[in-house]
Amino acid sequence: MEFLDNLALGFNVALSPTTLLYCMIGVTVGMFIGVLPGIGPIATVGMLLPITFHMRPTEAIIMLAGIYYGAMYGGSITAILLKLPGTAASAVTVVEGYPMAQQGRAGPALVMTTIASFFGACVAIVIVAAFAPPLAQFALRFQSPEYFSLMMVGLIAAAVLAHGSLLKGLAMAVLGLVIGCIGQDRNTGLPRFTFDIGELYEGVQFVVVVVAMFGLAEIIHNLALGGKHEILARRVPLRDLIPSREDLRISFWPMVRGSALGAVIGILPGAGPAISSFASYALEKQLARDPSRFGKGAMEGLVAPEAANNADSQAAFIPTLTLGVPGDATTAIILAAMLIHGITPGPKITTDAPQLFWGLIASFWIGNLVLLVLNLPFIGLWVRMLSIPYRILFPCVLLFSCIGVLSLNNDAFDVYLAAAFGVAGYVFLKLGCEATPLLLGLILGPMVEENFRRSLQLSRGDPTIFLTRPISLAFILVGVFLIVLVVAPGLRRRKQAQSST
Amino acid sequence: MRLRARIHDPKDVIAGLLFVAIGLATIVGASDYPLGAIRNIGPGYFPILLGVCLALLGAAVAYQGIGRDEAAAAGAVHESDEGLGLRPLIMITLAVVAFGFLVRPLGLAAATVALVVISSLAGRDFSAVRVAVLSVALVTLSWLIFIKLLGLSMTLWPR
Repeated sequence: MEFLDNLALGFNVALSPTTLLYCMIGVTVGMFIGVLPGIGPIATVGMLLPITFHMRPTEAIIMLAGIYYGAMYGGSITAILLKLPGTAASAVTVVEGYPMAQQGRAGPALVMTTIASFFGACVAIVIVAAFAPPLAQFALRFQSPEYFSLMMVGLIAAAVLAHGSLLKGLAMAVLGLVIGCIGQDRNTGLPRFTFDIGELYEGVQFVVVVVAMFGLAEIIHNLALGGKHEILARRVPLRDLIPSREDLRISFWPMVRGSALGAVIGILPGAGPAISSFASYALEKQLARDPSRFGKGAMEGLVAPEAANNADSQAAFIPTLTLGVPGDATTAIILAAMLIHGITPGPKITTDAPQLFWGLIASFWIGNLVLLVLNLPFIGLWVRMLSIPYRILFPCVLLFSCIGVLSLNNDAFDVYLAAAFGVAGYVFLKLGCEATPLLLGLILGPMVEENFRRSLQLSRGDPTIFLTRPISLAFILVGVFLIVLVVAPGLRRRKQAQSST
Repeated sequence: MRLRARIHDPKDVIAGLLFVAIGLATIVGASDYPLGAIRNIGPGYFPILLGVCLALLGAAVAYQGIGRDEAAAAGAVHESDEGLGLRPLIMITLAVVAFGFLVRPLGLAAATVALVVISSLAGRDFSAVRVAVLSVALVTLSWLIFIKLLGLSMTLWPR
């Protein structure tokens, strides 16, 4: 039983005291920032990455991954109690969770989302463990053209899923690729767009961009809005937490469906947890006998997306680990973290670094268990944390961001660069351009160029190589399909508008 | 005035023109680098390709903002203008720059205080007591975490 041996190895790694400690730190921090409004998991992982440089790679990655899925749990708490989604994926949780809280059922809503999250994660972990190795086996056949086309799909998917227009998303992805060109060319060593600034020869560190565009720009935006939020329940007594047997009964199949859907969508590169939760919500509404209950606190509409986004955030590690193409901005950062720690994710990861791979998967399960244990008894505590005012919170975030950036190279230049990118990030935010595709472009940039160059070498300069190789063609078609999927409804609407006038 | 009336989404137009400008700048900047042959592309090839893509996408975004048909424009929900947020933009940027400027010569304590004071000016209510308490707390906390616990190479006081 190779599968069981692998899992045994994984648990052996994940249960060693130091790894366990880092896993717990990771999920607790993730939970914490998921609850605190105004700081996302992306900015946090970026901020804390420099601190992990002196840790062992496996421990560092396990901790950073813990922040990622921990934030998924925390995000739903604020969604239910504050009508304030802590993460993009918990935006759907608001729709059913907040009405439940208004009806005085905040307790069961919180507990059921926790159970659904745990359920979804467990399903996805099994899927990751079962499907990642065969997928890696398959990916061994990939050469440069396949990788190039796959990365294109990832970038297109990120652009498609970004808020606002597709064109803006694509432009941001290309802009990310351009920023990725800054620094010495990998092939010839020629410095590009460095303006004779020595610090830029190594390229723009993505941590700087992450902290700036997801941290600083967000802070500026929040302060400009200056909004206040009303907390529905400051205290949730323990006895109100217990869900009824009816709650559990109606939740079971939605959780199963949500988990399956989330796991499948999570495997697609570029599709983040937000799309899973929206898709799963739509599915439950379709299946419901009485769809009119939705939007007024329907339990199915709460648990299914919650299971889906947690399943997705685990399954997203399949493409990240085995193909080296991340599922969304946060897994992109974890990918970059692995590169910094000298691990190249790719088809060979299960054989080259089995300890990391299986240790990470086992840590997912342990981390989720820790979250379940942390979450249920301490819900009251998490709720009380919501009352930390933003005017105290944001200077702390700002300081930790600056220290994180500074500790990258011990160079104040990176701090100035972060300030500049913060301004740029705010301008783009104001113009309705989301930063996620840019970040993905920046991280994938050097790899995209390298695979593009090698593909053309392989084909002796014939650009149709991307269309003549079957796997590469399949990826290109997926990309085209994604674009059509977004553009088509708009065209139809326009046609209808024209015919009606 | 007539052109103004036809612009349905100024955000799209500005964003589009910005992308066009960056795309053109990329092309100009990369024109110094060797292009190479298509079967073995040089360091200039990929950036120029990207610059062209970016400029074209930018033009399309800008066109979208100008050339919206009436039906689409009427259906578009215009979000309320929440102001430019110049004050937080300037103060937060200043706070970060000040931190970077002070942390080497004067140490973490002075840089932290500067950051907290300047960034607090970005909010609507400034309270000297709160800023003082927050400064002391954050200096202590970051000294504990980053210097004592993690051993980052920075000093607390001027050397």
